[in-house]
Amino acid sequence: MASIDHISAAGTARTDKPRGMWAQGWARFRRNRTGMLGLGLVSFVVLVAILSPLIAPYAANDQSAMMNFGSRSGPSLAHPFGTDRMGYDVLTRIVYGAPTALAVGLGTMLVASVLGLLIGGISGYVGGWADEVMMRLTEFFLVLPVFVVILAVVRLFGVIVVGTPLEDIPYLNLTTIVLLLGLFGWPPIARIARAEFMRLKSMEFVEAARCIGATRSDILLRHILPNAMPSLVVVIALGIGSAILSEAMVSFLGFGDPEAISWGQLLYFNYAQLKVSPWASIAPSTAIFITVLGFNLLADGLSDAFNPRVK
Amino acid sequence: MLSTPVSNKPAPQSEPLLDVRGLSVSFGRGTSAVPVVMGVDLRVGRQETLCLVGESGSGKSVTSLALMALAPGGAEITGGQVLFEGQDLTAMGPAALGKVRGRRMAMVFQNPAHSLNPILTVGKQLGEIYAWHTRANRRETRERVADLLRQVGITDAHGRLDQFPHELSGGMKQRVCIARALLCDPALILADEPTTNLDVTIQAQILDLLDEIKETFRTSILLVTHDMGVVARMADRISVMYAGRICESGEARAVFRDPQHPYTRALLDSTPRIDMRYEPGARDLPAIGGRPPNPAQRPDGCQFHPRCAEAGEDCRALLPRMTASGPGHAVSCLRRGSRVEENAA
Amino acid sequence: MTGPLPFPARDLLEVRGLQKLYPVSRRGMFRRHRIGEIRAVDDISFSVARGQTLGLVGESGCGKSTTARAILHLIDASGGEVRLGGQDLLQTLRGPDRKAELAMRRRVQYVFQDPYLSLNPRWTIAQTLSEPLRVHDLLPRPAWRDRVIELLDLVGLEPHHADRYPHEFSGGQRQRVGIARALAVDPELLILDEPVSSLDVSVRAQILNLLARLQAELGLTYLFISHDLSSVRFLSTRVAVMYLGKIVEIADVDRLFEAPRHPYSRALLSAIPVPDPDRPSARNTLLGEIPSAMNMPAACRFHTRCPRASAVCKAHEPPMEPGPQGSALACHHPLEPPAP
Repeated sequence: MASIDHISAAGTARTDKPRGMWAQGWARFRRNRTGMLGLGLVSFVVLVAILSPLIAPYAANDQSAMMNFGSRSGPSLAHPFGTDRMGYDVLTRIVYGAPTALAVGLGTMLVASVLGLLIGGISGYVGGWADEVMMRLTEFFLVLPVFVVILAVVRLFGVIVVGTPLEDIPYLNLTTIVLLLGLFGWPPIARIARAEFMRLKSMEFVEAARCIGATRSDILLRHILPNAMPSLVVVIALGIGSAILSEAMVSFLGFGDPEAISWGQLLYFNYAQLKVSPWASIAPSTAIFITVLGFNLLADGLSDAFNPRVK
Repeated sequence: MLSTPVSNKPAPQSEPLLDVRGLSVSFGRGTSAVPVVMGVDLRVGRQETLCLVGESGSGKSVTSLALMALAPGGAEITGGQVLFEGQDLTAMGPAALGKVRGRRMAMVFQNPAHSLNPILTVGKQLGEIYAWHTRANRRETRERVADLLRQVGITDAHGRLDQFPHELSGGMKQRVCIARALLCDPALILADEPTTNLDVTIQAQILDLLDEIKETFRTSILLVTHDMGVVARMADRISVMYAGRICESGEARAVFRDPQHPYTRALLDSTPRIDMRYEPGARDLPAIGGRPPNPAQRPDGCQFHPRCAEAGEDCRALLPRMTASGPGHAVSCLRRGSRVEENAA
Repeated sequence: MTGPLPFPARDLLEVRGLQKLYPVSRRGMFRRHRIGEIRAVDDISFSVARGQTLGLVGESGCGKSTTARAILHLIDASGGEVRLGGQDLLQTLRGPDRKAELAMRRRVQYVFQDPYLSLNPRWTIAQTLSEPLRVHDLLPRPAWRDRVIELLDLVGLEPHHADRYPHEFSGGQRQRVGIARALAVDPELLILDEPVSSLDVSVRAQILNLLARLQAELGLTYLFISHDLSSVRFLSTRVAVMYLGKIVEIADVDRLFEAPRHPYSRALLSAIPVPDPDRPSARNTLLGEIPSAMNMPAACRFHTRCPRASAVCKAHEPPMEPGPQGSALACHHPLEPPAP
């Protein structure tokens, strides 16, 4: 009996170290060009966001360009991306827009993930009536015209809070947008979570855990959730991109947070002067494009990396 | 029924229907190419059943697919000839090949559920093939298909023509697949584990059917299987495959009565038998340890030596070649006096 | 409707009148309408004596795996009773008493069919084998490692395998790990659900030998579920044959394989090709296919395919009648018993 394993060890002649699923996924991810490009773009945006106070050439609300260069001045050494209609340095505004964009993306997906995981997880694991109810709920949220609701709620809320202590909360409008985007962003996550939990709960290794006598929370947290994570990470990465895009759209329509510096708002302030000062519109559009593209490519790469059929 | 009367068989010296010489198949290209089939010789006579036996990963399925020039993605025939009715299939263009494939040579797959198109009715998917090969009109086609379904033991054949695959049971689906293979009067049916996914009582029916077909349609059968029971039930001749090479081949009776290669013996001995008593406390099958080598890291010399009880120093270094060990029986094993493969560097 | 018990009442595992019904429903807009039921396991009784192996055989859809799952409460049985050493197993596993449940789970363990699905792909072998130790709080954490290595050794694996992941193993090695996991809690009874069906011939023999050796060394009792009758012949002391949710015959392994009395048992056996070209394969293969569970034949479920069926088979269901040496048979027209 002992000889068996010498043979199999010799037969496979393994040289690599044992690797877990994440390590394996990373090894595959590294070989994926689009995924690595996405990771590069995302890292760039994250780096800019973290270092924004250091790399921005001017203070965030510095409108001093009005004095000498004037508003809508073209790219120059002092203002590499030019200045905009309000006399802001475009590069500074772009740099300070990065943390906002990431906060929106991550915040939205945090809300959406918690909701989606809870609803989808319960739906998939419990099944039966709970599943029926939760899936109808998911469908309801999917057919709602999200933008109309968000715009209406943001405007209404903005009026209601006037004169209440709520008014003093910083970035109230932005927080509202993030919460609303999260509240409407969970259905895709719930669907994936439901499918994964359903698939995994009937897997033999989960049944094996039940045979051993593992508790329900053991099974959910130790067996099912970690195995569902790869698929969830992919939708979450995709969701971050689309949340950033949604916030930009809300801001572009003029419903953004006046306190926050956001790329969408930059567009909103400058799109009317597209012919006079195209730089002020092109720069934020490019920033949005790069960020969203980065997250989408990252998601793409991750889904390839965790797909066991791709070697 | 089991054995065809000898007089029905063509004389042994006449040209075989299928003559595979030194077939080699690799996955991948260049330096990373992994050979999975190496120098395989197979011969199937007219109206003969050859069983190609092996475990998963032995290369038996790749071999049968390569014969149909259906090599799975990434696989490439890297050497050898496939002579079918005197023509070399490996040298044919796609158009000429299309005429042979599906017409003179037809395939029955392991999983009937996957090899039927779920959105076409039985009549449609069989009819399309027939009409394409024979340019028959609709009525002739329908009649021909219904007729074939009857011949493969499907009751109410006309009614079945308008059913979809999911409305049929597993055994019924496999019968439809066999009917599909018979559409254009093939000379050879390649059946790759045709009964592995079926229950034993249904397996028995399908094996009976294949035997009948061999008689009524005068076809030859190349049956790929891992089940020595099925082999004993069906084979006129046997080729045993291990790690991409044929290690033993011969007349069925000769191989079963006097297996030469240690691997063939192990296959026969390690299967428990339903006609044998096993005493409690003394239950021990003569199992062989280990498992087949990884195709990317094959051992030197005889592929079986790491699992072979009889292996000696020479087996670790030298590759044996198929050598006759008796009338109609050949083996590649140095312990059985096989010669050494010269061009194996 | 449980008839007289065809077994002594002191066996380790006793199953009486076990039933599993699946409601068949059509989905409406708001609720499901129940339109019938599938009797996947219908009032079956059997027992397994300590240290012995009962082989439970039948074709796909006969309910053998459902039986195994119902016994371990992986699915909730619709009716019947399962006793382990006299204690009510199903009630304990259902019940709110977690301590009693864990104590019961330590006595029965399950080995799954597919070694590729039955191990958590994200866990090392050591983690998988430690899980039962953690759940049952069997050993202090520092002692886990030694126990894992001991378990690996028991099933013929090496200590260095402990830190590997399932995908690095072959099917046979994974099945060894699955067996080791079941053995971690020192169970008395192992339910083996098609443990060798997905393995290659040469590896299958290794696992069958391992199971035989473990039974002899540890005094284990097996319920061995399989469609592969040759493995059943090798490993079993008694055999129960199932057809469409019912047990049709139970007998000692040699008696059943050499002189089956139920026409279905005989048909099943004669359908198996024997690796011997000189043995003429029996030509009494069954006609037709297994009826779908949705429209089950009335009375004797086998009458639609049975060569011996008569009017009585279509009218009355044959009761399970106990016979000599703990055998039992449910047939109106059984084949002749072997000459004594």
